[in-house]
Amino acid sequence: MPAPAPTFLSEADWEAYGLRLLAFTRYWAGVHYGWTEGRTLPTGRTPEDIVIEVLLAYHEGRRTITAGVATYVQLKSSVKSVLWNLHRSHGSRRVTRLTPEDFALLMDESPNPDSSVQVEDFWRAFFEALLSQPHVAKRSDMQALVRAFQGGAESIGDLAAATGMTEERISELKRQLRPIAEKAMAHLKKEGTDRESKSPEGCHAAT
Amino acid sequence: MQLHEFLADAPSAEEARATLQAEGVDVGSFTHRLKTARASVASSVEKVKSPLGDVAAKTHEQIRSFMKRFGADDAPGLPAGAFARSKGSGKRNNGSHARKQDTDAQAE
Repeated sequence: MPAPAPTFLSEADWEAYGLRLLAFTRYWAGVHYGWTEGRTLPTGRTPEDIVIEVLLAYHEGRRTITAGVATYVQLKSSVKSVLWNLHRSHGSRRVTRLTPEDFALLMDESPNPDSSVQVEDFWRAFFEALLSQPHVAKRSDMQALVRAFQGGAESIGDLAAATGMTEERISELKRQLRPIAEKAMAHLKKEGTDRESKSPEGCHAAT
Repeated sequence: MQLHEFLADAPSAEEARATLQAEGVDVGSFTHRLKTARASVASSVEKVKSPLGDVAAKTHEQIRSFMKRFGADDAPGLPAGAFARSKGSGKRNNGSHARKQDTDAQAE
C-alpha cells in the first residue's frame, strides 16, 4: 500500500527542494529556452521566482503531491511544465500568478521516423559542438566524461565505470560542464537559426 | 537526453548549493526568500483561523454579559439554566440593579 501523500512540505524539505530545483531550473531554462544570467524569462520571471511559485503551489494545496511518486520528480516535472507553458502561452506578457494551466503536464509525443532521424542528427551535432568547446577540447578528463555520455552512460555509476573517475570528481566536472553545455546548445541553436534564415525558404519567408 | 537531465540535476541539497555558488548565485539571499515565502503562507493560514476564533469567543462573552444584565434565564447557544435566579435571595441576578439594591441594603 503506497504511503499517503504529504499535504505540506516540511521546513527542511522546503529549503532542500528549493536549492535542488533552482539548480535544475537554471540549467533547464538555459539549455531549452536560451535564458542567461541577468535576464528574465517570459512574463518577467526569474528562475528563483519559478521555483518559489512551484513550491508555494504545492504548499498551499493548489497542486497536490501524488503518493507513490518521488516528490522531487513531481516538483521537477512541474518546473518543466511551467517553463514550457510560460514560453508557449504567455510570450512576453506579464502575469501576476501562475495559473493551473501553467502546470499542465507536457505531452510525450512519440516521434515519427523522420523526426527520430532529426533528433539523432541534433544530438550528434550537439556532442560535436560540446567536444569542440575550448574547455572540453583541452582537457582529457572532460572529454572522457562527454564521450561516456555519448556511449550511453546514464548514471553516475555508469560514468565512474566508464571513466575510472571517482564520483566526487565526476560531480566536480559536472559543475564545470553545465555552463559549457549551455554555450554549446546556444551555439547550435544559433547555427540552426542562421542556416534557416539563409536558406531559400527562410529568405522567401522573410520577404 | 540523459546528459541534460544529469547536468540539470543535483542529487542533494549540498551539491545544489555548491553548484549554485559555483555559478555565482547568492544562495543566502535565495534561501531567505524561500523562508519568507513559506512564512507568509503560514501567517496567512493563522490570520484565517485566529480572528474567527477571537470573534466567536468575544461574541459569546458579550451575549452572556448582555443576557445576564437583563435577567434572562437562558440564552440561545448557552447551557440551559446558565442564568438561573440565585437561590434564596429572591433577586434576579441582573447586574447593576442588583448591585444597587445590595449597596442600599448595606447603607441601611
